[in-house]
Formats: sequence, structure tokens, C-alpha cells
Amino acid sequence: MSIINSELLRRYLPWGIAAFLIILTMADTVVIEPTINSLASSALQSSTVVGAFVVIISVLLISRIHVRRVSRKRTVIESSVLLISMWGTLVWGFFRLFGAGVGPTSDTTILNIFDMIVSPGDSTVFAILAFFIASAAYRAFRARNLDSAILLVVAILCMLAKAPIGETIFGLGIVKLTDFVLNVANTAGRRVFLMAMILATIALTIRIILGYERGWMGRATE
Amino acid sequence: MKGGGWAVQQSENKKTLLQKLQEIDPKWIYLIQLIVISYPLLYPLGLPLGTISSETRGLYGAIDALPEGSIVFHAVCMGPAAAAECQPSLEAILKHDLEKGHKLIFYTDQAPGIPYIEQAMQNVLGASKDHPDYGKLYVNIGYIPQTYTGFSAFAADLFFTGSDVYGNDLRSMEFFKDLPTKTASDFDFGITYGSGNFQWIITYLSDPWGVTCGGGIAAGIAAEAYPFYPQKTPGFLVGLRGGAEYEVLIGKPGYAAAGMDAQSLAHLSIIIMVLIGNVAFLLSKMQGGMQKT
Amino acid sequence: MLSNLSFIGSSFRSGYLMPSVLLITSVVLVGISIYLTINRVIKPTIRRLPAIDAIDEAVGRCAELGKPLHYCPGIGAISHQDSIPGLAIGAYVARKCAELGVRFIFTFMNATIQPIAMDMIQEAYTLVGKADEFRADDVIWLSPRQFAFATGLVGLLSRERPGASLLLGNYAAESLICTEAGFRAGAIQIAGCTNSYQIPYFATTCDYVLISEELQTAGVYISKIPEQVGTIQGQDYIRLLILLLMIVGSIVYSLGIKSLDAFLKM
Repeated sequence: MSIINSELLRRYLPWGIAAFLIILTMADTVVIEPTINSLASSALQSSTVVGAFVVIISVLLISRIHVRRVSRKRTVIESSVLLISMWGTLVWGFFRLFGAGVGPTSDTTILNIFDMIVSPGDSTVFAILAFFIASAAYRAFRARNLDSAILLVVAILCMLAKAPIGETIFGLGIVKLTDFVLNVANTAGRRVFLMAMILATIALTIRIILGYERGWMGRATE
Repeated sequence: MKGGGWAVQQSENKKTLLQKLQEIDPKWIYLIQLIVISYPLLYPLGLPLGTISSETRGLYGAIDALPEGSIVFHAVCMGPAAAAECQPSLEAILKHDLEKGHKLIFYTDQAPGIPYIEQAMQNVLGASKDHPDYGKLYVNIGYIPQTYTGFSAFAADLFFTGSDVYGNDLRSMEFFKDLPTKTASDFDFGITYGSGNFQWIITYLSDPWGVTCGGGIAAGIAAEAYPFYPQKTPGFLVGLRGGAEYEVLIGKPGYAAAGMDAQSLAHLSIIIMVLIGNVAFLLSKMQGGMQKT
Repeated sequence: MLSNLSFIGSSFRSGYLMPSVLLITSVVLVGISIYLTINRVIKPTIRRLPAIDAIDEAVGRCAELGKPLHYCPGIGAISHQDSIPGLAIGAYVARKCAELGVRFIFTFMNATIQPIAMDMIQEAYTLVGKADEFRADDVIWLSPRQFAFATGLVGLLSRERPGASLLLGNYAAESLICTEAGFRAGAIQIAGCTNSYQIPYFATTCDYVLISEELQTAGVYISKIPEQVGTIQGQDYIRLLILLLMIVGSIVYSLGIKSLDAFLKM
């Protein structure tokens, strides 16, 4: 078994690094100790740099997947359009940055690509949610039993109160009632979720530190 | 076994009106929504906005109370999707900041957020990097990757990125000259925008650095901000309605206020459709009960 | 005074002394729970999670109908707290699908998931002796952008029409788009995430939902490894401690005694 595929490198080293960094950042959060604070600060800054490199991995991975699709003649047109537009934008951005000193945030071509293609695309898909919420609400909000009847009534209350028309039709009372629902009932429920999530995260973190949670490392050996 | 949706084949028997009302084809629902949302955008109804909510008043009051020269940190963590809801809130708050003479620092945790900071600066300040007070009163840090760890690194050292989004050296800027610690504790107020989550600004800015924080957040995530209100946050703006309320408070109605008619009719149409479905469901249950007896 | 710990020459940040003590207490409680579970002093059990029990039925349904099963661990990176249990459950589901010969389609949004997912699914097929049936083309990275990913998922679900769609991991605004698409495709849907504001969307459109910590517990529920079950029991001990503090604190504060409040804010 080669050293690269050994259990030491695939299991114990990532585990050790993760456990060390978790304990370091926890310590940095609570204590003021120059060594710990500067080490944690360096670790945070390094992770930001690593995060930027993930973008490079993303680009290379997308390219590999779609080149493979083109070579297998599966989605030739779609993959070609994607590869050309992605690499075209990248090459143009680099050319403008290193050739003319214009950063991507200032380059009009890049901004136009964002304004004309990316922004409308994202906004459109997010806007579909308005329609999906309508159809999901119509389908799901049925008073089949007491619980769902309460859900129905509260949902109608909140929808009316949070739009100006509710107060116009029913007056200030509906707003006050909804405020009670949001500030008291909803807050109580959300705090339960929050605490539950935090407890689960503490348990998950302890499992990672102790090495009982290994899914994030992938396979230990070949 | 549950599941099946509309892909399940319906029986060959003719459906009654009540059954049809319980299973309206979603295409009709979408058409109704399209009409009720589009109409008031083209022909405004002029519905009154109503009572300003306490969370909006809280945020307004907190920003209004900041003295001139206070540093307000704007975390514009939104992309094109949330911009429709949160950009009006951002611009309304910036107009308020401008009136009060606050110093502004911008940050985003996603690259698509940069154009929205640019747009807000252009619309409210009149210019971004070319503004005569850029570097003195306004700074745009831009995008820092890795959301929470990236922000934590920035909060611990404001010069972490070295330069702003335009490539100007941060250390040479007058904005940072008189800051005592050059960390996030020098901020006087922090506001997060977007449809991510609200809790992050409490966890990563408010608690560790003692900065009072608020939000101009999407309505879908607003419910999770209420547990922090009012002890941890003086207030926040809930979606487009919150933006409209803030615009009214600063006396400058804009895009958010203009969208309220469409929001009203959209909510009303959903409620009517839900009620129709429920009435049909209850009537068919009653009919079924009567047939058994 | 207490905030200055001279023995290591360091001091706690203001207001972090008692939270640190509570954190250390929590860790100790979890440690004690793990120790007691390993040594069989206590035999903790996790209550039945209908959503996880439904996974076997979902896989069975796909096998009967001859349809694929779709699984997605969400939009988070490998570092996200929801991605880890999402992948753990994904490994279990992949193994079940491999056993029954169901086509397993795995989609994801973040590039950091890809190597782990490939390893995990390949291992699942290898463990049941069907390594040659593993299809790398079924591990599909749709897009690194949230709504492009949602659109891609809608298209995939419409084309493939899976018998079941499992959405267990980190989800945000695209959750409703994904679940509506699954509903229209006729798939049984099991979903879960810790984002409390997405759970209502899942609850209205999915057949089974894992709410908040149930997602993170689900991986342990499936594996039933004693050490992991011990951490869940430790969570309950921490919960009891918090409940005790809340009840005592409410009573004490209502009586006008603010010293406990001041003590916990140290």
C-alpha cells in the first residue's frame, strides 16, 4: 500500500487537522491569549484562501464533466455553450486584469454579462417560488384535523396581516394578533429549533473530534 | 404508501364540482397569480401601507440614534434572487445613513453581491469608487470567500484583505486612520441583507465584537430573526414590506412601497384559493358523511 | 476577578467565562455518556424516526416500479453541519439501492462534496459486491450556483421521474422548487434540514420530514454505533441541564433575585 493511500494520510491526518483546528478556534473564541489568537487568526485567513481555491476546483471539475459529455456526444450543444461562455468570461477577465489593469468589478463586459444573463436568470427562478408557494399552499393547507386547521387559520392570519390589505379590511386587531403569533408563539418554537440545532452541532463536533464521525473523510483506504 | 402527486392516473369516473375544486390544475393557479401580481404593478391601486411594525421602528430608531460619524457596517449578502426584496431596504437605510452623516463600510459573502453594492452606492451616493469621499467616509471591501470563516478573519483584522474591491490599499485610507483597534469592535452598527440567515450576524459580529446588529432580510427567513428581537437586535426589516415601511419612515417612498399593492393582491388570491379548496373539502366530507347515513 | 486566570497567563473574553464553563460541562457530559454507553452501563435508544424508516420503503417502491432513486445532500459545502449527516445517510441509501438493484442518482451543488460522494457511493456498491454496477455518471454535479442547481434538479426530476426523492442536508430558498418538482414527478419525498425557515416548505410538500436535529441524529439512528448513540444521549443530558437552568432561572428572576442572571453573564 503506497504512502498516499495509507490509512495514516487518508484517515488520521485529516482527523488530526480537523480536531486541532476545531479546538483552536473554540479556544480563540473564549480566551485572550496572544499565541492562540494569532494561530487561530492565521487558520481563519488560510481557510479563506483555501475557499478561493475551491473556485478553481469548481471550474476544472465543470470543464472535465462537460468535455466528457461533448466527447461522448451526449449534450453537445448545451455543454459547448457552457464551456465557451465560462472560459470566454474567464479569459476575458484575466486579459482585462493583467493586460489593462481593469478588475472584474469594474469591467463593463463582465458586468453586462452579469446584468443580462446571470441576474435575470437567478431572479426568474427565485420568482417562480411565488407561484410554487401558491400551489403548495392550496394543496397543503387543508383542515383535515385540528392541527392542520390551526395551521390554516394562523397562515391566513399572517398572510393577511403582513400585506397592507389585511389592515385595510380588518383593522389594527389583525396586526396585533399576528404580532403576538410571531413574537410569542413563533419565537418560542424557533428558540426550540435553535437550541436543538446547537445541541446537535455540539454532539456532531465532539464526534468529529473523537473520530466517530468519518463520513466527511471519504474512504479510509483503497 | 404516500406520494404520487399529479402523476397518478385519475379514475375514469366524472369528477364532481367539489372534487374539481379540490384538485385545481396548478396552471390555473399560476395564471391567477400572474394576473393579480402584474395588474397592480401596471395600474397601482394606492392601498394605504398601514401600521409600521415595531421591528421596523426599532431599526429606524437605532440608526437614527447613532451620532454623526458612526461607522455602519453593511453586509450585503444577497444575490440577484434576494435583491428584489432586499435592495429597496438597503437603499432606504443608506439614504437614512447619508442624512445622518454616518460612515459606511460594505462587505459581501458572495460575488454576485458586488454589483448590488455598486448599484446602491450609485443610486444613493451618486458614485462609488469615484465619489470624492470614497476612502474617507465610504469603503467597499467587496467579496470575501468562505462566509463565516472569511468574515471572522476580516472582523479580527480589518486589513485582512489588504485592499478594497477596487484594489486600493486599505491601510492608506483615511477611513481607518483613527480606528482604535482596527477590528470589528470599531463598528457602531451592523446590518445584514439577504435570504441567507439572520443568526450569523449575531453569532459572528454582535456577540464576539459587541456590535449592535439589525437586518434587511427576506420575508422567508424573517421568522428566524424574531427570537433575537428585541434583546439581541433592536429591529429588522421583513422583506419588501419592511423596506416599504422604512421608506415611509424616512419620507422617501420608492420601489418597495410601489410593490405593496401587488403583495396585497397576491396574498389575498392565495387565501381565496386556499379557502375555496377547504370549503370544497369540508362540503365533500359532509356529503360523504350524509351518504353513509 | 474570576475572569483572570493567572495559571496560564490568559484571560477569558468579556462575557465568555460562564459560556465556556457550560461548554466544558457539555463536553464532559457527552464524554461521560459515551463512556457509560460503551461500557453498557446505560443502553440509550433513539426514538423511532418515521422518515428514516420510510427510506427502506422508498427504496423498495423504486425497486418495484423500476424507477431510479434520487438523493441530494443539499447546497452546502463539506464543512457544513448538515452535509455530514446528509452524506452519512446517503451512504446508507446507496448501499440499500445497490442491494436491490435500484439506480441511485446523486446530485449536489458544492464542488467539495464530489470526491467524498464518489468515494462513498463506490464503497457502498463494493460492500454489497456490485462494484461493476456503480455508475459515475449518476453522481451529477448540476451547478455551483443555487438557482441554476435548482433549475437543473427540476429538469432532472422531470426527465428521470424517480420513484423517490430524498433531500437531506443543507437547503435554502431553492428547497420549495426542488420539492414541487419531485411532487409533480410522482416521487415519494423525504426531506430534512436544520434551517428552521425551510422546514415549513418541506412539511407542506414532502411526505416525511426530518426536523432540525433529527437530521443530525438520523445518521446515528441508522448506524447504531454505541459511541455515536452515546453522544445523542449526551445531548439529552445537556438538554436536561439547560431545562434545569431555565426553570430555576425563571423562578429566581421572577422573585427579583438577579444574581444568577449576573453569574451566567460573567
